[in-house]
Amino acid sequence: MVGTVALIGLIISVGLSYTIITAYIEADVAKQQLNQIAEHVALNLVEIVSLVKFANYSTIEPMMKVLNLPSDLGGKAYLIKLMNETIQGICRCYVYAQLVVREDIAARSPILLNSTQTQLKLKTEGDARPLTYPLQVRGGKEGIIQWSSTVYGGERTGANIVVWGLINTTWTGIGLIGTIWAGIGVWVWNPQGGG
Amino acid sequence: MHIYEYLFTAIIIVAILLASSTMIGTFPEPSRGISEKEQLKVAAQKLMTQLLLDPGDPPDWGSNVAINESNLKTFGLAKYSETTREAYVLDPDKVLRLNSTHPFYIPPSSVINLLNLGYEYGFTLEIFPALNVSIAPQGSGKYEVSVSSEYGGLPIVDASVTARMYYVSNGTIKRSPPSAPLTSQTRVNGECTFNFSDISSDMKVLILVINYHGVRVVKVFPAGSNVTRAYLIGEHLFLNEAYNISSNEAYEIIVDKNFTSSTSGYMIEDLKFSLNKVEDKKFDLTYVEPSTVAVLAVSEDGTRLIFTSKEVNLTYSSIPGVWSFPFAYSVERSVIIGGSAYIVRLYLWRMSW
Repeated sequence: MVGTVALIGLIISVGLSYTIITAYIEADVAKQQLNQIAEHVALNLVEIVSLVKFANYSTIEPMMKVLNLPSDLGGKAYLIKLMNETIQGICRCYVYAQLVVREDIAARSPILLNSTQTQLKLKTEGDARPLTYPLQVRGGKEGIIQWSSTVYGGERTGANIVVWGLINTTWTGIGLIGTIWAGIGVWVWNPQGGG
Repeated sequence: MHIYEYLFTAIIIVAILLASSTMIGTFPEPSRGISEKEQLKVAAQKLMTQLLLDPGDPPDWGSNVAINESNLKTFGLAKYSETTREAYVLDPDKVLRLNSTHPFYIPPSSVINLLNLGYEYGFTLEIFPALNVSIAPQGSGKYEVSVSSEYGGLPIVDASVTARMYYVSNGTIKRSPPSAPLTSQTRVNGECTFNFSDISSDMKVLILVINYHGVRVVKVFPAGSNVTRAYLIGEHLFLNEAYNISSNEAYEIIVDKNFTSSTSGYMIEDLKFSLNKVEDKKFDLTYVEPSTVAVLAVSEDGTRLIFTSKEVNLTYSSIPGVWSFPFAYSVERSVIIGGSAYIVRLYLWRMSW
């Protein structure tokens, strides 16, 4: 009798241990993948801002780069946020990626740009600075960019996650002042069918 | 079934559990290591893009002496122009401010803050000429120039070397040869020799332009002992000691392609500009030519040749004295600084995983 109870108890503990270990590994792998996604988005955001700066005032069209991101991570949905936080008076922006169902499984990557005192405006979470919504690509002929500080990962029909940037010029009386806007969003090239 | 058989079975199950948990624990390690390196690679590329393609904010922070670490808003080393811009062309004034001996040095701790790297990452930035050029005085006014590659120090054969010496004679700056600069090709051992035996002055600076299939490197070599280094920042000349400048004049040494010659050589020319003394150790030049590689001036007492150079060769690290880190990821890129070819190498590492 004692032996039977011990055996059943051991089998249950084996099952539990196995579940805990596999869940830990799964979370660890997902975290690594989220880290890669956050770094990839941050890299592309820095690149698009550089590209917009290179264009100077020669275009008023939004520039964008399609991010080929996985549709899910091991069957789990994830989201990407553009966030900012102020530490010791310094505002830092970063890309934050997390699993939708597990907030504790998340990763972040810093954006190496200052978006508060400069002419660069990143559309981060909580940013209420005015900007046209949505952004039209080639006057709407190539679709629209639905910018947002949060996008859900993955591909979908007729829409893709993009990083975008554009320059808004204003005449100040002494010359043109360019404000660069940049962020993440979804490019819907067929607004009727996708998104 | 006897109780010992149950216990024996239980021991076997525990053994299986321990073995499988060990195996499961070790299985993802290789893939995890690759993933972490991949993240570091992307982070290094991101940092490199920001450093080399962004001019920073304000965009003229290199030449604007009013900008320091406290009012610099965004960090980037790219050259800025209102009209046209070229990729991977850096501003020499910005790059020179990364040198710890520079009077307007920007410390790495400020750069880490400006780049939002926090305590997560450490980095080392190396900027050095694309060709390794060394000059050895041979006595009697002869100089042996040795050109080698940065990779393994292999000799560079058949590189075109153009040379001109600037020296002080009777209190004024003269050049040798006066008509056209000397030219030579490097031999099989990557060396060539120049003879300036006609110059007896101890105040002299040798300017060299090395061209190897379009890769141009400029070297400014203080050949005499009575030569003092100064700093040119934008149009401001900063001296290390309080000298007055003779006649308030400075010579800008300009290097450019020699389009009038049938050969693919370079010209080394000079233009005279006047200086205005702003305060002790600080002068303003009336104009600085964009292709200026060096500025020369003579002290009023005629005892020192003062020179500045836009040459760059530096290591800039977030941990002073540490140029690399065992688990660092490195990215390398060819850039142009002041018309010369340079290599920028970035080492990036995580302070913690």
